[in-house]
Amino acid sequence: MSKPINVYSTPDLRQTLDEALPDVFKRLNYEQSFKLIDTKLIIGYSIAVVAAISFLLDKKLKFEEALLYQKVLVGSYAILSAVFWYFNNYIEKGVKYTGYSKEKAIVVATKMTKYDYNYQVTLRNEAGSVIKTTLPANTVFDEQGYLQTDLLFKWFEEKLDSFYKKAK
Amino acid sequence: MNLRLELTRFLNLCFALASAFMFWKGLSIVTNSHSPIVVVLSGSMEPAFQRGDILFLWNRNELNKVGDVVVYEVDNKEIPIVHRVLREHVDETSGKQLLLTKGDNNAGNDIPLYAKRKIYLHKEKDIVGTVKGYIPQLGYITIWISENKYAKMGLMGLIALSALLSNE
Repeated sequence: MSKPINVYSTPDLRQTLDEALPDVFKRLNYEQSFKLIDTKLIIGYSIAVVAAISFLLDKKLKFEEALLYQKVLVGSYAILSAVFWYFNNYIEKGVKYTGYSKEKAIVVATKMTKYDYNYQVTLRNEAGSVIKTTLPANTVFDEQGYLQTDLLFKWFEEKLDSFYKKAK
Repeated sequence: MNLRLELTRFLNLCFALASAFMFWKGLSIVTNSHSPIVVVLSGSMEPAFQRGDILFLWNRNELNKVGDVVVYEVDNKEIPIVHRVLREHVDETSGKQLLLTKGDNNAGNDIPLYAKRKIYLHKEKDIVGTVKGYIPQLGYITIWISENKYAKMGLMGLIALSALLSNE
C-alpha cells in the first residue's frame, strides 16, 4: 500500500497524513471538492508560463528588442506571485481537504510545527462551526513508518461524530 | 486522483527555476543592462580586478567619466570586456558620448579590440554597464561551471533535486 516514511521527519509526517485525507473522507462518504487546489494550480502555472515566455524571449530576441515585453512579463510575474502568496496565506490558510456529502460539507485544515509530532486538525462544517483537535502522529504510524489508514479513519470517524453531535 | 498531487510537486520545481530567472530579469530591467552581474575573465585589469571577481553593473547613467571602469561588448563577439575609460568626448550634433578604453594591465588602448575600423565605443550602444561594486574571487565558481559542462549539469540537477526533495 503506502510507502514507509521516516517518522522522525515532521514534513514527511504532515505530507503523508495530508495525502491520506481524501481516502479517509471518501470512506466517510464525502466527495472531494477541488476548487481551492485547482485555483492554486491555475495561478501557479500561470506564473510558470510567464517565466517560460520570458525565458524564450530572452533566447530569441536581443535585450533592447525584448525590453518592453520583459518589463510587462516581470511586472505580471510580480503581481501573480503576490496573488499566489495572498491566496496561500489568507484564502487557503492550510486547508488540505474540502468535501461534501448530501447535506453536509467539511473543510479540513491541518498544521504541524517543527519538532512536534502533533498533527493539528481544524474541522469546519457547512454551518460554520469549528472544532480544533490534535492527533498525535505516533498513534497512526507503526514503528516501520507505515501509516495505519484504518486507525486514521477511525480517529476521523470519531471526531466527526462528536463534532456533529456538538454542532446539533 | 493523484494528478493534482503530481502537478503540485512539479510546480515547486518550476518555481525554483522561475524565481531565479525572473530575479535576474528584474535586476537587468532595474539596472538597464542585459547582464547586470559579470565575472572578470582575464587579467587585463590587474591589480584592480583579478580573474574570478564578480562585478555589479549599473547602466542608467547618461555619461561616463574618464577613469570609470566599464563593461562593453564588441559587435559579433559575445564576451564582455572590463576596461577603464581613457578618453571621452560628446558629439556636438548628436549629443552622444564616445569612449576610448584601455585595460590597466595592457600596454596600449583598446582600438585593436574594437570592431573593424572603429576607433571608439558608443556609450549608448556598446556599453553593458559601469562597474559599481565587486566581490573578489567568488566568481571562480561560475567560471568553473561555465567552462565545465558536467559542473553545469550537476548544478542544474542539484537545484531540481532540492526542489523535489524539500517539502517544508
